[in-house]
Amino acid sequence: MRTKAIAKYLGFVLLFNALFLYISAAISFFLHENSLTPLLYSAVVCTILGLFPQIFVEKIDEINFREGMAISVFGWILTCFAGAVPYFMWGGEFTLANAIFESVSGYTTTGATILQNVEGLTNGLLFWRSSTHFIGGIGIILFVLLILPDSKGVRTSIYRSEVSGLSLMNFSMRARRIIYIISIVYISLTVILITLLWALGMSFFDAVCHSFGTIATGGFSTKNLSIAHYNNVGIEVTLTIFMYLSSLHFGLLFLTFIGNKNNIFTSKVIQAYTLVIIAGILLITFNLMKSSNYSWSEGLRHASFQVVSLTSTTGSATLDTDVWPLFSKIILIYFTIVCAMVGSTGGGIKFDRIYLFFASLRRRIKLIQHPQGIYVTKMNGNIVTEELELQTMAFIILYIIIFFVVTLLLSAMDIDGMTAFTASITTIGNVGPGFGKISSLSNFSGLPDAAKYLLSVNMLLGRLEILNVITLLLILIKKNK
Amino acid sequence: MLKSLRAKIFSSFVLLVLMLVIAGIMSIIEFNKVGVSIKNVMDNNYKSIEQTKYMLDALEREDSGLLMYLMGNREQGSQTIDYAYSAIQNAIKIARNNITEKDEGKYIDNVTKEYEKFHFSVKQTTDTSEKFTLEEKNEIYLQNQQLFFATKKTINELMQLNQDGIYKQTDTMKENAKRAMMPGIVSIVAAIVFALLLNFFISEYFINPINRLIDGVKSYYPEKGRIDAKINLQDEIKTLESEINNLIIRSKVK
Repeated sequence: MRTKAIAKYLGFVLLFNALFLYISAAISFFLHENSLTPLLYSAVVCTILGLFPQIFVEKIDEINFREGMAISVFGWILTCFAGAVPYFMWGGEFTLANAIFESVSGYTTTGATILQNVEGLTNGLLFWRSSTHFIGGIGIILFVLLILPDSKGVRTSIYRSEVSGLSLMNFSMRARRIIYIISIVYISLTVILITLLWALGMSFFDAVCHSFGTIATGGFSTKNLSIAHYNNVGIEVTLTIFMYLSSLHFGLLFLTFIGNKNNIFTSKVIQAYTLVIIAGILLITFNLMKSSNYSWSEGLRHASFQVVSLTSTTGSATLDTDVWPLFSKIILIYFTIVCAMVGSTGGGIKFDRIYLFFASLRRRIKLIQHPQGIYVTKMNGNIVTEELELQTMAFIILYIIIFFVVTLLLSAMDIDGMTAFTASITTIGNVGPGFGKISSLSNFSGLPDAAKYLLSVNMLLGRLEILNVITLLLILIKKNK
Repeated sequence: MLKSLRAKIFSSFVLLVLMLVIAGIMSIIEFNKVGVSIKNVMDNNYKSIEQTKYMLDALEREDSGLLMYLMGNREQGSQTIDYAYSAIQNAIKIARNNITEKDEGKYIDNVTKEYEKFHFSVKQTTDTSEKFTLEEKNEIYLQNQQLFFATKKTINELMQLNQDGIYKQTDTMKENAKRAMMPGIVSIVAAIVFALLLNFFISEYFINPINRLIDGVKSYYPEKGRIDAKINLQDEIKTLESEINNLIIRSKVK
């Protein structure tokens, strides 16, 4: 691995962060806010440290897969630290642990917060907080690839280390075209949502921040009560639709828009995903009507928002789901585990992997019944390779192991069972809210610092899809031997 | 990417100096804000608190003046009441010109209203006191006491408001002082990262090529023809390699 090549691209990552920091600083400057110095100085430091490698390192024409992976993993870690600097400098509720947690939560689009008083932040910092969602939603690395001039082999190597193999199944395009498609869909959805939220009565600033949080499936809000603050059915329905769209494969959304026959309406996986969501909404609605005396319309309103919010990994809230009956909570926990689809901005195991797991299981059962038979696993008409199947199984097993280990470690910190269990599952899935002390209208401020650091690592592991981090670690260990 | 070594070194130091200078400027701005907060506390809140203390003092004097008057020491009592009246009016005027807290104007209005009631009652008492017996005077004095306490309460409320303001300003000062230190702390961390990076780049682009060149010179023998130090850059070290090779060619020609 060439360290200088990695340093050059990490420099680009810092420069990209600096761009959004300058915009946030400009907001603070025009509104005469006390967050100007933290934001501006963070931007300056990012610019200087980002420019430094560019002075020395010559143009890189090719990057191998290992270097691509290192750029991807270290890029995410570096960006999370850089994002924490303005918070830490500003102070208030942001201690070092809190600043790192908030930054990681923003970039990984988890949306879990340590802030007890979100409205106490300045507009500049609120914009920066939402910007971390916007940058992290599409992936900082993809953003950097989008703006970089094309170099043979660079884009493909980094791209392949950033995007899961499963999400490339429907595409036989070049990496460059896929990156452009993802970006076009991402930015278009954001612009449309800003316009709609603004038209529905949100202030322009709130509309921008909530759109960044929704399309990135993050969930940071500018209000202490999240979406419940607006108590506006129109806003809730709009957000529900956009959260659902953001949880789908962006490539398929683009193909649907251009009228391709391979689209979201013909995809068997999306059909199954949608059916599961509808079933979840109906079950919770009936449960709320029966056990919590909700009216039919109120039950449907809150059930649909919460189910789509969790399954898309957004985590926005219209009420505190911690007071819901146990049956509804269990369904919501299911959606926290199995959430979103590959190729979207969401985190978690992803519905496609569960679909593939069952498809694979069916093939294995058939093989047991007819050992001489030849069977293949298919998804949306495409044959899934044995390697991809094994990779998916390994991912699911690793995901479950990490989830259990983190739950165990949190319990060792005297955190109650429900909080530890849901904190672990919600952070590795990049969802946001859990139950217990960290319910949808609550926050993570009450957890000890060690738990915040642990959950920050968990969020990063979830965003980097675990296998990449483990592969890179093994490469580094082997190199040092 | 810059080509010459001189430009690379110069640019690196320019970036480092720029970062430190900006950190310095930002710290100065933030410390200046701390200074402004101190000035606010001293000029505004403390001044108002001082005036409320004058008001309380004058109010006590006016009450004593009334007592003196009722006890028969009319001239001195009257003088004390008049002096206290002008002292309170003066303090109210200063306080009114020094409004710093939200709703402070309303608090001053309350003080004025309650004091006017008290002073009117005092004046009425002094104007008509000759008609009353000692018991009646005692009763009038007790009635005035209620107005006295009501006025004192409003002055104390005004004082409390400004004291709260001071605590708020102190918190702001603490935050500003912390923020003023932050560019320095971040600069220290950034400078360490910068130093590590600079060390890496110096060894990658300066030391390693020079070492390769030294190895090339050491392992040179006439049959080899030229030195190849595998320097891919177009900087001064590459020029040095070319010049050494030119020197070898020239010495062969001789």
